[in-house]
Amino acid sequence: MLLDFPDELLLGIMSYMDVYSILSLRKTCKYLSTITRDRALWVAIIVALGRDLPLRKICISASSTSEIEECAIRAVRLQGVWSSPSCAPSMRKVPPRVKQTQSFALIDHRWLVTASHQGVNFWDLGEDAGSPIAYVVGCSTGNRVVTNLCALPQASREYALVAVRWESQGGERTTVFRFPMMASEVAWDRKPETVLQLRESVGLKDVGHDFTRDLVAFSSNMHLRVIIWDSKTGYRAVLSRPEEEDDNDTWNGTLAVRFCGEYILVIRASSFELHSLPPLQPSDPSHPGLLRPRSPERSTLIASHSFGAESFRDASVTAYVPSCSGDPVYALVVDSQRSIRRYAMYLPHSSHAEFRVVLQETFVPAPRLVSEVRLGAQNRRGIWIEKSEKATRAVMAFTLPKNSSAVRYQGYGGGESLRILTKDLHSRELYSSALDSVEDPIDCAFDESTGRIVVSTRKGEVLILDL
Amino acid sequence: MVNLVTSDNESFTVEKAVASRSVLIKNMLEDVGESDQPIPLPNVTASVLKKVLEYCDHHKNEPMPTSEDLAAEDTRKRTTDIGEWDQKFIQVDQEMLFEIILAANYLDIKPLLDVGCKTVANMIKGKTPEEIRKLFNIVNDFTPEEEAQIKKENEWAEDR
Repeated sequence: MLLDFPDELLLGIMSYMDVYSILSLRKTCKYLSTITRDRALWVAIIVALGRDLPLRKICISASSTSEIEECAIRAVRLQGVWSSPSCAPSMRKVPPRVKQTQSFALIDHRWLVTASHQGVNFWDLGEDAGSPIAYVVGCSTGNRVVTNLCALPQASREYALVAVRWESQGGERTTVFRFPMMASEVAWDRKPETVLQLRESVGLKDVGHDFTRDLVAFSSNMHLRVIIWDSKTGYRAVLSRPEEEDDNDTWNGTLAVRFCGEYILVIRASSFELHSLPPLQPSDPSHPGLLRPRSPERSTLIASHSFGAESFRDASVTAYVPSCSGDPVYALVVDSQRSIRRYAMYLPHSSHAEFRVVLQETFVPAPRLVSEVRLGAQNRRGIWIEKSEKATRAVMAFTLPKNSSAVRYQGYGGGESLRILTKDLHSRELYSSALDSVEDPIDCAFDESTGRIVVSTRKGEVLILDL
Repeated sequence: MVNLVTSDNESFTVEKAVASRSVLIKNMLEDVGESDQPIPLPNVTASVLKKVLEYCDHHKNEPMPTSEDLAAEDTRKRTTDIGEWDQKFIQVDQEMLFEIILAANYLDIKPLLDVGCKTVANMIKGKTPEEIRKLFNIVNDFTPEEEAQIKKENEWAEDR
């Protein structure tokens, strides 16, 4: 009899079972039900899953067995529905407090920041699709027209920093607000405050964040302009290159920035660059809004990988994990042919001194044309927006091949540094406009561990898709 | 050669290399040194030992898993693949399968224990709770309330 087995053998058998089999076993009888709640079993499951699947944030030692179990089941369930064409996402619309959303940002899957002509608003999307979308706090920007925003949580997670670019009669400005972010009622009573004003405009195409040092990098989409800002001390610096760029006619704007330990990775339209962190300086007290380095700018550029005449349209980068500093950082880019390419970037490291960029794959969704691409922080899933043959635009979800992260840097020689694989990636449509261009998805964001997707349309609506 | 005596008093004479696949027997042999004394295995019947020795004989030339191998091995196994020969070997009735698992556990033959556990796990895979009960003669001892509670508990997970 199976039930005559000692617990250790039953647990040994369960260690080979998938989570759904364990849940079935739980429903058979009282004795097995108890064994399926063994803590060591679920800790082992979550550790093993964590190697393959993006997990929701969980601290194992501080979590109950049922919390660990829930996290494991959610990860397995999402892996199934992400690629299953039969599973339609549930859709919620952000309520019409804001008519025309110009820009938005998703923080930690749960918090949404939207910007319109009237102001900046903070929303709580809840943990799952069943939650109502709650308006939390906002601030008015008066008559200024907000054109773009970026948002990210501060390391303490008490505040979110929201950088807004807006237009006024005097030209473009960039303002950084600090929004209280704790999920407690008390914190929301506090009003957002302005913590940084830049008289110059920063494009805010992407924002990088170094949690350990509370450093933030705002990047411009016009040319290389990355402002590094220490959100604790207020000290700032600008990344710079040796030659004067403005003479150059080709657009080489910054598409993405990432802090990678001692380096800053800058993904530009036709080159990937590695910069060192410039020394941070206090801002000039007589011109608090202006960033003027006193000494002549010293180039921070360490290495550059040029793509010549190629001009990428969009880029998205995985998270840099300091504990795996030898592992590459991955980027997806949309090239000028509107195909998606994935690159692995090997940063200088004890075992190899060079900055290496290796093409992993080219995904070919042609004849469809990709405009936006988002890669999950853990390099397993992504979404893109494409224009299909019907001339409608659609949001597509894709899963990256499982073994791709196993492709490791082998010390390629000069000519061998490009490894080109062309493959059709399995993808599925999540949302598409109904031949009506105002319904067209324009911008998108997603959270890899929860599968939550945020889409904004040309009409200015913001949709939340949960899988 | 080593002499093994089962619970039903049958005696098996096998090569030392075969018997030593069992860490229990290997340790016993090391403890007593060279001896013709039969080793009693009071927890194993002749029919089961015969099957277990068949496994040990087939795998006798493979390296034993070292303690480092075992330490490096994940507590959570990732694959449920079973080798071709092992798969044929383990195609036995359920009672024998369970006896083999218990014997492998007692005799400390890790690879055989793994084959047994994987086989049971594969039998359960994809089955409903009712099918599992039928398969293993498990009596449903939940009260209707408890059953409803458990069903409710992970209802959200089933939606896929």
